[in-house]
Amino acid sequence: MNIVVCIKEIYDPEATIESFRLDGAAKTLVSSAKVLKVVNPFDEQAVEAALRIKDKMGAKVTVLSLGNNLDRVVVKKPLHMGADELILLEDEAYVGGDSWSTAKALSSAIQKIGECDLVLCGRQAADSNAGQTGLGIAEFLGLSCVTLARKIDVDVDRALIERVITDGYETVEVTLPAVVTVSNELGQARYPSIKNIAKSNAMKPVIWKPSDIGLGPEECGASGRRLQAIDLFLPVFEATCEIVKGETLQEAAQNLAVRLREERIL
Amino acid sequence: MIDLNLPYLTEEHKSLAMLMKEFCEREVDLKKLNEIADQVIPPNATSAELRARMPWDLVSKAHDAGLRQIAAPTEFGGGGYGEDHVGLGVMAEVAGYYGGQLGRLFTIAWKQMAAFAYTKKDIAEEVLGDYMNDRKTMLGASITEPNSGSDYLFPYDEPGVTGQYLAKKEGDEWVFNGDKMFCTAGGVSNYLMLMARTEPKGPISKSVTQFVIDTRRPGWSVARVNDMMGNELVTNVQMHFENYRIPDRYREGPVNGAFDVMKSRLAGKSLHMFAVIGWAERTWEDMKEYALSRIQGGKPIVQHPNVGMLVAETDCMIRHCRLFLYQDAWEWQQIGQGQMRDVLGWYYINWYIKRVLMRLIEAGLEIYGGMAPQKELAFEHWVRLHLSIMHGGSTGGLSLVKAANIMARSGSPRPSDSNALYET
Amino acid sequence: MNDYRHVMIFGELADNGLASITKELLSGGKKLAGSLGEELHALFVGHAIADGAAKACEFGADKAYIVEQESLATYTGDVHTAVLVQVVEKLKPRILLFGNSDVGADLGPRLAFRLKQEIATDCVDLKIEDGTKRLLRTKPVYGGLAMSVLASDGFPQMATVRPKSMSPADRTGLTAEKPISLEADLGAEPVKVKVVGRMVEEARGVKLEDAEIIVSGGRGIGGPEGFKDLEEMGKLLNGAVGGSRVAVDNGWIPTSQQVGLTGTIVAPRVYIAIGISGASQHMTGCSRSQRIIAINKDATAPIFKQAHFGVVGDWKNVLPAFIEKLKELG
Repeated sequence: MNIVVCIKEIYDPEATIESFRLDGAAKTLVSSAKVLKVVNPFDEQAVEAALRIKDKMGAKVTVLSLGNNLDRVVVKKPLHMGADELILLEDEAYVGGDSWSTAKALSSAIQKIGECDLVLCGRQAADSNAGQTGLGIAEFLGLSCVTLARKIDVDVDRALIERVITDGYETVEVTLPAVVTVSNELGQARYPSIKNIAKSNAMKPVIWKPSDIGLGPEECGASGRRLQAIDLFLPVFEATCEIVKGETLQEAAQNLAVRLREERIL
Repeated sequence: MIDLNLPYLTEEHKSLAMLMKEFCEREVDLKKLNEIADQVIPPNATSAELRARMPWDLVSKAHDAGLRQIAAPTEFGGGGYGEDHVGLGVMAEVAGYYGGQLGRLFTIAWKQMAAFAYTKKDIAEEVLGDYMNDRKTMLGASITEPNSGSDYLFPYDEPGVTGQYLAKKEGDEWVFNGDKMFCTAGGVSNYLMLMARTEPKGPISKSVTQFVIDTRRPGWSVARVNDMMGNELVTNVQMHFENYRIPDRYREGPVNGAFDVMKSRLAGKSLHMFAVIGWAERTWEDMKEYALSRIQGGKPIVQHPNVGMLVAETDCMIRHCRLFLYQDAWEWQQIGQGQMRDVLGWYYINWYIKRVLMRLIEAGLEIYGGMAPQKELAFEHWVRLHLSIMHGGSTGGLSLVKAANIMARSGSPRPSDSNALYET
Repeated sequence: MNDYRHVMIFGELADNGLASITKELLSGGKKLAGSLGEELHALFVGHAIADGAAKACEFGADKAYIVEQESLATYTGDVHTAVLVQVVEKLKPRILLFGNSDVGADLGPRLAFRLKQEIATDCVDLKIEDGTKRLLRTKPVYGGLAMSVLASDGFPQMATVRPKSMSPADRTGLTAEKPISLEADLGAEPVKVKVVGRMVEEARGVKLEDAEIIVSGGRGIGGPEGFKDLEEMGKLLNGAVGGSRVAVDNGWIPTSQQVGLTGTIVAPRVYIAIGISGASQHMTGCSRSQRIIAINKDATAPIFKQAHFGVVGDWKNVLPAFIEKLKELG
């Protein structure tokens, strides 16, 4: 069983706005303080999904990541969790893409990898919030795609997937090879293991430039975008919170009820 | 947030630090750990009662993640990082920052288990085998006695300064009668590394033997709990030995040779300080956030020079101390086997970190104003706790005295090796 | 010469009428059509949808289209995408809008890639650019910390729209028109994806997205027992109970009650956040609430930056007195 998991390196989604400043020209947020880079949490869950299949029936898990100047501590985390190989699409040309150019590059890389029964991605990136890359990869590769998986069971040439819907979940059967995007309902990703950290320390990931995957630089990253970023701005929050107090917490609670009644809120 | 962009840290170190961070964020409820530590200790509390207070389920999860045992040698089931003082250091710092009380919960045991890499194999197997199988135990160490604190820590070899004649040889056994004083985690550990006077009259540095004590053997008990203004999760106890017997094979190193053995066990002491500096960084950040958001005189108080300068000064001191610790840890690694290359640095950091903590406390009192002692802020718990544990090892002043003595002997300050320690 | 015209919305039905997201799309789409001086069309794909689709004209659509076949009763990505490709080819809409619903979030991107075009997902605002007449799409990024405005030059210009980001259309008083039926060739492609089961979790009490008042709990609730207290409060206020992702991940409440970026987006009159820190991914789900009340023991929790009223303290000590006082006030 060969699984490819696509991961994205992003700024820590828990970081507050104070850690960033707006670069109006480049239309990005730049971290001004020491903001951590992490694996997109949904992608971590995709890695977890792959490892659960590996635990159950054996599989080779190859991790793929696109970007530039990627932090090895971040992109090796799936190896620390138990994945087998790491391939980086690392080049200036890959930067600034949209779902189209990103999916194009990733699917070209997956074609080069060759043997692949299952492609897993997180349902969306916590920064760009597009949720399209998995579907895009499936389109480029001519594969089926099932989104928002919370459980994946693989059996020879098909997968049985529970996917999240608003009121619950539905069970879907798909023939392999296929692309599946993973949602957080899958459950917590496992911790990296100390043994794997030590093992992968010296290892150098494979790096593929656009020419290695048969793409010209104009097809990648910002140049290959279909959707143009016109503007980026910070929304202004207007609410100023009235903190209701009291001699005791009980009194504060009562005062809150009174205030809300006064304002005809409750 | 901790800045891991230090030249001392490898990719491996950073990955381990991230594992520790993730563990703390998922598993640690900071406030809850503080509340557990602050629980009233009943008078005449027994070891069983002290053990019952410990968050053993958290300890067990740490074991599952490989963290509880990471400093033990691999041949005994550990992670094998006992000699990687920088690696253990950054993990301790992260644990202190993100896990508060959890920091020293790790380092207290890490320090002891690391040294089993160069002790007798049968003892190492027994102690570490027990540690791996029993997830409800710590590992501790015991040095001082009710009547001998600095006597041991200096040590004072002056004639007449004797300390208790604690352990006597009877046949193939050693028999212990007497008391040991400040023992961190003594009440919650199956095994303790303990030094006892075995030669009744001689100078301390040549009259004490190192033993591995099993607290479950008859004759050992908690004499009293050292109930402090801020207690750690592991608590600190005075221990009583009444006809306590262990076979000679639990002796570590030559008879009366404890201070030689000690030299191989000093490395790793700085781990506790890494945990402390991590928590101090978090405490400082809370102070800074407060200074940025509290408005007085129409502006955030950080813009008032008296507050702003304190915020800057304590940031400087913490950064300083932190780099000192990393340099120290790196120094420890240059020789290995628990050997120390820069003795002066070791004494200085022991003194300096206390200055940093005291200054941070002063700064907090000034910055928080009336809010400082309020229980709703984490500050007062941190203050009580660190005033209580600060002098682990020795007082700050004593460290400087020892440093001065080395300079007096050698004539000029220079890095020297462990043999300079405890030279009389 | 561009021959793409009119604004089309992909409509969905619920309880035999229009889904609320569809009414929101009709409202937003109408404004766009007005700016362009073009028409608003609605497209429905499924089975036994004619009556429901007709209602689109009551709510502002100039025309309603249906593709109706028994095999389209359940949504499957491959088949619905194939249908939409044919519809787009035939009708050439300038703008095509989907709700960012279960179906829309899945179908929109598939169609965009199939057509070799593009789509902006989870948009909260849509406008026509002066001069170029391009569709300007505004969407939250970085968990809602920033807003990105996107545009493109291809056709159709597509977007999925976040539920509750636009006010729903009002009934116009015009009568429902019979929808125009379109043929679609579903092809002989073997079905590679099959829906074999469905598990609907009964929402306890009032449905989240329809509730006027929502009582919501986060990490601070600490366990499922705590949520029983919230349920009682919900009953008292005749509101729904929701929770943050932490509560769902820990199994304290079912997934259907999750409020957040992944979960349900709500915009009630009152949102009471209890033991919720206010992380952006959760606030994305509730920031459009008219009034946010926060109870949290951490005075520095980000929720207090977006709440309108708050009490700093352990909810266990605050809630009983709060509820008692409310009862007393009648």
